Amino acid sequence: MSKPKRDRNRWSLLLLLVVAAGLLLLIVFTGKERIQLSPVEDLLLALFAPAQTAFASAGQKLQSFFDTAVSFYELKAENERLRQELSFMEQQVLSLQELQKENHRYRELLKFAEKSSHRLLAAEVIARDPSQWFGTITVNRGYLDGVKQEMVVITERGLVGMISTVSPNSSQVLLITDPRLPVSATVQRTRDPVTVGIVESYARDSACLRITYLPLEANIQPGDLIITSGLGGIFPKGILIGTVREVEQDQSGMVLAALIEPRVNFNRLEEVLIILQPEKAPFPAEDAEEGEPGS
Amino acid sequence: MALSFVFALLIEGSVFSFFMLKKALPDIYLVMVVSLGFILDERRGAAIGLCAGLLQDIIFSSALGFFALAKMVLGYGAGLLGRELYREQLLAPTLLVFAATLLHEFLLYFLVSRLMNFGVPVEWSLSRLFIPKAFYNMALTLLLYPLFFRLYYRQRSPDGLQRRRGALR
Repeated sequence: MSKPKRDRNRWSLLLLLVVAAGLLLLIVFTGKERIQLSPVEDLLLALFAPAQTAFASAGQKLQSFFDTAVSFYELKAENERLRQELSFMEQQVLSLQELQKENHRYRELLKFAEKSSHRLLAAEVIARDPSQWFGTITVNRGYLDGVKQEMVVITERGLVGMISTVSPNSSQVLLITDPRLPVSATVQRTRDPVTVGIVESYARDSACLRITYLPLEANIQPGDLIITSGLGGIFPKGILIGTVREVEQDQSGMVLAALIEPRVNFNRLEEVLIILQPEKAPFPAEDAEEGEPGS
Repeated sequence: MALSFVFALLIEGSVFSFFMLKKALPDIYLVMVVSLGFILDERRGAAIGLCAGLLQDIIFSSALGFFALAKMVLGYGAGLLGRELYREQLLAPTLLVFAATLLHEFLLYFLVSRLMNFGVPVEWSLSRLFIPKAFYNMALTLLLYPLFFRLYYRQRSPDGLQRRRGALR
């Protein structure tokens, strides 16, 4: 570095130190509370004030814009959260409705069980045969609960079927829609001992049953209620099976047959009652048929 | 140049005050003083720092001299370092602004606490205010330094800018 340049730098540094010292004094002097600002400060502040106001307003607008953008994202997140909550609540409501329905069904079953003269055991349907060939369901009661083979299964609406196999904690129920389970039945209106037929599955319509082998002189008409006859020793007498929809002559022309609409909806079975011990007294089918057509 | 300082002062006090990084605000003036000092030289750096600091003192501070003293010293220091480091590279001024911000804040902290008996714990200030501010200023340097650099060399000679443009990175 040349000598003049070095001197210049020295002078610069010296000047800097002098100005710095001056500024320190200025800080000390102006750092105390001042009653009045200097005219230069007054002038500059007066000049800057309008521009500062304008800029501050612009800044606020800009901030408001960004706040809106931020709040949009917050709202979006909140919306998402509320949607999730709503979905959860909907599930809860569905679950509660399901419980309410279940409660209603249990109440009906209980009411029925209290009125019934049989010793009954409530069971829950835990599985159903998915094939269309057989009509079986599985219930959550087994021989540990006192369930035995050939016990009759009903609901408050009518006959369901018969216990076919029993395991410790579950049993399989053969439904009356299964071709393997014929049931001796009669017409509830007449209770004529001659008008006895066999209720069996109806191949053309799995939702229906068919009563056959009725004598030609049998007094049966659409709307009649069909009940178990008690013959055969398995099904107690008087359990409601269904309503006659249509009466026809059998293909042979020797006997009458009728199409029956079952009272029990076999596709919607959820709870059933197992008759642990049937009473000798006739089943009070009259109670169940109140308000039914043909009663 | 003077107008850009006025403009920066207005922006700093209005628009930027709405964009706090944690609790820290950027100091455009400091970025400008250090950048210009680095590009020019120590004498002009100190002069720009002194004027800018005084303006800042008048507008934002009840006491005069705080910003002026700090910025003058830093403008001078930036000018001295500008001689030694590559002005064409963005890394040096960016790191310099980071260090200058910390120095500036420590200097102000010292002046305020000693001369006005006022202050908050230095550790808190360092972590909550100084360091975020230094990063904020670094980001501003990345935007402003190339602008000043080009403006300065275009003003000096368009050829000079052509020669240096390729080197600025």
